[in-house]
Amino acid sequence: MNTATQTDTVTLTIDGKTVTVPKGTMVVDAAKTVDIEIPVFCYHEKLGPFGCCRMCLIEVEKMPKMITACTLAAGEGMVVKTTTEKVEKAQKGVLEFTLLNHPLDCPVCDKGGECPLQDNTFKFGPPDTRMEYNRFNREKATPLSPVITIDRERCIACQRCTRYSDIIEKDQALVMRNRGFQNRVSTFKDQPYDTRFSGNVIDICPVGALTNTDFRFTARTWDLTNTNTLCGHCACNCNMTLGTRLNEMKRVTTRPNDLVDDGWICDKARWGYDFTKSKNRITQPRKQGQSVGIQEACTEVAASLQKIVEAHGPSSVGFIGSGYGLNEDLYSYQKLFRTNLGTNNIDHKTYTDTPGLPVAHFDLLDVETSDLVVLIASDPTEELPILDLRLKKAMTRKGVQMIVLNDQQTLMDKYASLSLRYNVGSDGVLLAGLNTALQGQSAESDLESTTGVSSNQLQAVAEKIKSAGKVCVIYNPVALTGSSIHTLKQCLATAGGLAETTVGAMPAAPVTNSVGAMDMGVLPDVYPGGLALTDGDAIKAKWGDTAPLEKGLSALEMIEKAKSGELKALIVYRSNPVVDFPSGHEVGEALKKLDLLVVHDMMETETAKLAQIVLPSNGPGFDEGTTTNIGGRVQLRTKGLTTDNPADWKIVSMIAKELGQETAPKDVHAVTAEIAEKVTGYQEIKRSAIRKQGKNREAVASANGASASDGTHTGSGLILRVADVLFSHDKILDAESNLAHQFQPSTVHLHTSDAEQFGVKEGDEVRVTGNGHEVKAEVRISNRCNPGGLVLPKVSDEQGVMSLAEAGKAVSWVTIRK
Amino acid sequence: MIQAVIKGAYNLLVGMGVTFKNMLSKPVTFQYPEQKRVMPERYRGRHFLNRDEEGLEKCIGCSLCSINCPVNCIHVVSAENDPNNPVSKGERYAEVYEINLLRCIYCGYCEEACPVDAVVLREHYELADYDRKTYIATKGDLLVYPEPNVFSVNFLGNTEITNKK
Amino acid sequence: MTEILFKAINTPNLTSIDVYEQTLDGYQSLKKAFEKKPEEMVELVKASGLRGRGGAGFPTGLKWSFLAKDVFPRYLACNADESEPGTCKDRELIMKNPHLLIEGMILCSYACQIETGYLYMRGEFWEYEELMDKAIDDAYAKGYLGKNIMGTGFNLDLYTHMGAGAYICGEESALLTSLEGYRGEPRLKPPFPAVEGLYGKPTIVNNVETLCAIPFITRNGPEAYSAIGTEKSKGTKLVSVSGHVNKPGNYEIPLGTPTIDLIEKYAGGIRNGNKLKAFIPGGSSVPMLPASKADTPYDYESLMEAGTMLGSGALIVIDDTANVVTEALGLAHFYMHESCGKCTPCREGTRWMYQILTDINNKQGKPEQVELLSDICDNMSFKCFCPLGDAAVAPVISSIKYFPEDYEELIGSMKTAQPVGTP
Repeated sequence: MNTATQTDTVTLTIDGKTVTVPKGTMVVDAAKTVDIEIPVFCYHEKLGPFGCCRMCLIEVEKMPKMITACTLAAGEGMVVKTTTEKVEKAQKGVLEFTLLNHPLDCPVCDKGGECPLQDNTFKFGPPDTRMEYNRFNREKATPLSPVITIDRERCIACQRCTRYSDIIEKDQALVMRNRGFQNRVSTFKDQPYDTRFSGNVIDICPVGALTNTDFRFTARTWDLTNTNTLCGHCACNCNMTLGTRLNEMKRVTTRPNDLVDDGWICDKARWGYDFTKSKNRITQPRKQGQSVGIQEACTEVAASLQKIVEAHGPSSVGFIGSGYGLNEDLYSYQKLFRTNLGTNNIDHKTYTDTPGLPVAHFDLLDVETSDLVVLIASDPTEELPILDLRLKKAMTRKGVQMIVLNDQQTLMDKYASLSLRYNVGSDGVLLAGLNTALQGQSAESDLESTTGVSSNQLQAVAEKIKSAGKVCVIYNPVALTGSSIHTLKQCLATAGGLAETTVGAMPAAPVTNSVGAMDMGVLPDVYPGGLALTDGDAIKAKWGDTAPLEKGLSALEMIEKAKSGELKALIVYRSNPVVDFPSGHEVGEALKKLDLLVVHDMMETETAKLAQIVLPSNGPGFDEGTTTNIGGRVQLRTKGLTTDNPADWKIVSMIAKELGQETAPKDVHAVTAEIAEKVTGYQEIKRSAIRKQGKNREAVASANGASASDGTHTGSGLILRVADVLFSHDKILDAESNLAHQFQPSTVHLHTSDAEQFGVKEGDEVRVTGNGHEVKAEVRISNRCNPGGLVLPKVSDEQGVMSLAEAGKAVSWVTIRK
Repeated sequence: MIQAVIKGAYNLLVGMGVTFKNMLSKPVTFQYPEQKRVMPERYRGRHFLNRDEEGLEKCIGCSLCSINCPVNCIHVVSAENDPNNPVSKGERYAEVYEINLLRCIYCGYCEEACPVDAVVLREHYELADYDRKTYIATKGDLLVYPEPNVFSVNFLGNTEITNKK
Repeated sequence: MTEILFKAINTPNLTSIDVYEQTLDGYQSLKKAFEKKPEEMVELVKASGLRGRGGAGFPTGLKWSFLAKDVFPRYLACNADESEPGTCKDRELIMKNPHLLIEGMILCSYACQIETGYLYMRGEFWEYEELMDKAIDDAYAKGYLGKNIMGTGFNLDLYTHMGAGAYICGEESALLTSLEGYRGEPRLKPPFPAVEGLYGKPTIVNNVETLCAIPFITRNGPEAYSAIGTEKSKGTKLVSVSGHVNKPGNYEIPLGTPTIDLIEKYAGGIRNGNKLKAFIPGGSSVPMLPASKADTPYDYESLMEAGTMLGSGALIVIDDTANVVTEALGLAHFYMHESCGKCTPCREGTRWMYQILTDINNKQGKPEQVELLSDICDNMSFKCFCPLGDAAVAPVISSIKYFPEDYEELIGSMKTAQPVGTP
């Protein structure tokens, strides 16, 4: 349907210039292509034509009256005039009307300096007003939500914000109330407007009516140093502009990149950057709790590591990284461990996953151009919010169909044409069933009893996939249990072999650079670029003869070995195993047994408290390098703030130098260049190539593991499903964060039948127990998952949800006590 | 010869006439610092920040002076007013307002740009000091409007400001 | 006197379906219509020359033929949001003869192959909602509505929908937006409702009076209808005469009757024997005319030639005791209050005009304000999103054009009165 390319073009004349544009282009956009400015307020290219501000009135030959350029699609042979006397009078007249009741606030208004109303008045407006009556006064700054302030006097009722809420967010949370000159932007019953994407209305407001409460009055726009950078929260890597002044973060605004974010950012990106000025930042290297110089700390780390390797062998040291690091930092770390220390004890995750895909790696834009999106175990709304907007756009405006396969209810369900809920923990069986269905065979008989999804339903999914021209599979590897990821990849391989269907996939793990971490080989069994250990010759060619070829320890195994005393030293980089690892409450004890624990992190974490040596990591805002988003797009994250601490890769290279590495990269671009040279798929990634919109890295070799059945799960109680929430109260969003109002209480979601069985009611305070740990939560009987499972959103670090999960087990059983 | 003497005496008288005339006329110089020149009303000397009738600061921290300044000598950091205890009349006030008087070229653009007539350049021209640091005029310096300085000659023969706190 | 719409309108109990069937051969036209094909019905209406009675006067048959081909379902929205100041004809039809409207809606639906019809009534018609609902129920009971009507296989469901009292919802696209449950605001045209209307489907929006004329045309043929009226304005028109006349009320006239006849013969002349000063021929949205043009025939073309419009057919008569500035002020207040606020010129301009007119009316005005008023009108007319802005301008600009002396009178006697507050 939407795969048909629009080759039709029309040619028209605007002010004597001939323009050829695709059919359906609005005249206002066509004029832009030849540098003719038609002033607008209400028109926004993402929101479509509306025509309420009347600012863009133009004359078109053979049309009896003036017409708005933003609602007029360019037609063949049209003769448009934008500078006639009539047009100028109309522009002056409309601006006079617009300014009638607009207060002369410019010196105090936050929009001043970047205000379309100011600009248009300056360029097209009347010299003076003829209004001699008092302006219509309204209440000034009113909170619309804890983070947005509305000044209704300044509002020119262009309805961009209400249309955004309706068309883009699909919430209709923001509406116009009252009529005539008394109309006002408001919410139902003046409830706070606190959606996940509310902040975008600040950017699209053409006047200073909607303002950022945090930024309000703290700086003038021209005083800000704007840095084009990337968001460092989720794995969408949205483009944003970081406005700083005097080396302090002031505000975050959107930087439209249609290939990534479509021009929007979520509220976590906009207001989740308080950590750049948090008290909890690690600002200085520490040794045994004492501040030391960075060189001293690095020397100490190198010396201790060397001593341990000499005494106990290379396999006694390990590295736990995370997807929060940049490609350069992660690459440097794995290089340090593999070439300088000679071990493969490198990992960045606690779930099973392998780099590469058996099918094409689809980018975010492919979501819109597909015919069918299959969303597996993913909850974009909470995990990858901008993907959520992209999916909504695809479903509601691009006519894309969606199938949702999930073990929990998500907000995406209502946009899906088919939404199947499998039992928690049965994803392996379900995907195996889907694979057989795709192969055209009938599923196993016990499918329905295990998964809660009938084979007919799966058959229907398979049929839809087969009949669609282009299918985009989005899956969240973190939410898949055990080794089901291998089954999923087999499914993809099967689908990829279908004759008339183009299939691509997008691994949608929520952490910033998890795709990059996989590509950079922060894995115990895969070298950078998906180079498997079995390919010894290729590894030796690239990484030297001493490169270790035996499989290293995974992150969970490292904790296990630390407990047993076999692992002596561990570097933990941007990760907090004590809170985020399964059986987290036992991790602390294990880490205490280590001879050397080095924590290299941005914020003070529970793990950092246990470390002998703490190294500072700069983190988003301060660091510079590349990240790879879920679509495989490599983009440049630049720094808007400066610090005295060296960059993370620099710290690694200082350690490497102490360990005998002779050459050290000069700057971060040298590391990027080295990645381009050494990592398959990143050959074309150069700073110049990715500066503006980023660039898709080429396919990384797919190192698929064998599909191992996890068997049927036996246990008593309910199977735990930990759900991510966007605004989780953790180290990044602390209690002083602007988004603290979005924190949720600890709740447990139960199915009606399970609630009956455990004798609990809605709103009861219960303790969820399992794995020798308990979590307090309030009961919600929401039928969010099938009977036999429970959903526990991870709302804060203190909550300790991950301790309920058993390390190394596919599923964890929990019970509920009052 | 007599004629030459008379002519010489005449010329002498003419020459001395100019001298005597100037002796009687009002001197153009001032006996600074005992005497002070009264500057014209629109003289652009040192900056001050005005207050309004209610004693609130007029400055609303809009930074227009700072962006207009051709030598970038004004630094403004603004903040939101507490409605119960306002510093200025608007919603915003200048938390920090500093002018580097050494860098300033006294062009008066800041005064021109100010939308609320807060910053003004007044007739104070006696700006000499011994310490460069004192030339960073902060809000505290700018908000007071002192009488023009009064100088006296001390017993060493040096001039000093007698009304300086 | 030709009576088509108001035929036997004052029969007692005409709202009952039995009385309607007996006195007016009610619902008999359906049989005739069902003998024809839907397309033939459209041709029939085209041939009759019937034009939309809501205000714009667009030929009804042509509108029906513009429906997007082969797109179903289609909807009918009957516009009973009669909010034009001075207009009260639809109310009388609904109040006294609801079955005529239902019959018209059935015929229209049949002609346009519509299976769902909505009757959008203005919020102030709450009294008649019950009456209308009962009439629809009766029609269901008799088998004129519902599934397989009269064994033809044609299905139709009718619903009443109450507006919340907004003038703008009388504009067809705003009516549809309101019907969908949104805030009543006009939509972008094109696409026109006939292509993309209610719920994005082709929709016919017709006025009550228009639909009420269909049964007559079906029953008596297009020729019988087009025989009435002038060459281009066919049929009869309900005119709501109001203002300074002795007998204000609704009168059915053949189009082309001189306006002065309407005032003198039908409405019983000007009150107290005063002289006619001005009249607004088609509801508040059209320019007023001075007494000298009172002999203009009351039809679409003649009024257009005279510089005004027939509009919704509400003749507002102003006698020489009144000052037109006061009239213009009243209407300006109405438009300020009813502007939906979507587009800038209308939202801001209506209020500004009201402020200026208030000043002038309170003898606080300045001579240059009249010029300013005309310029505001110029900045508003044909620059607004929907016709409401143009309508708001009409009474003001025409009062300045024809009665400058009324303005001079008020401005000339400027005195120091107490200051006037702005709303």
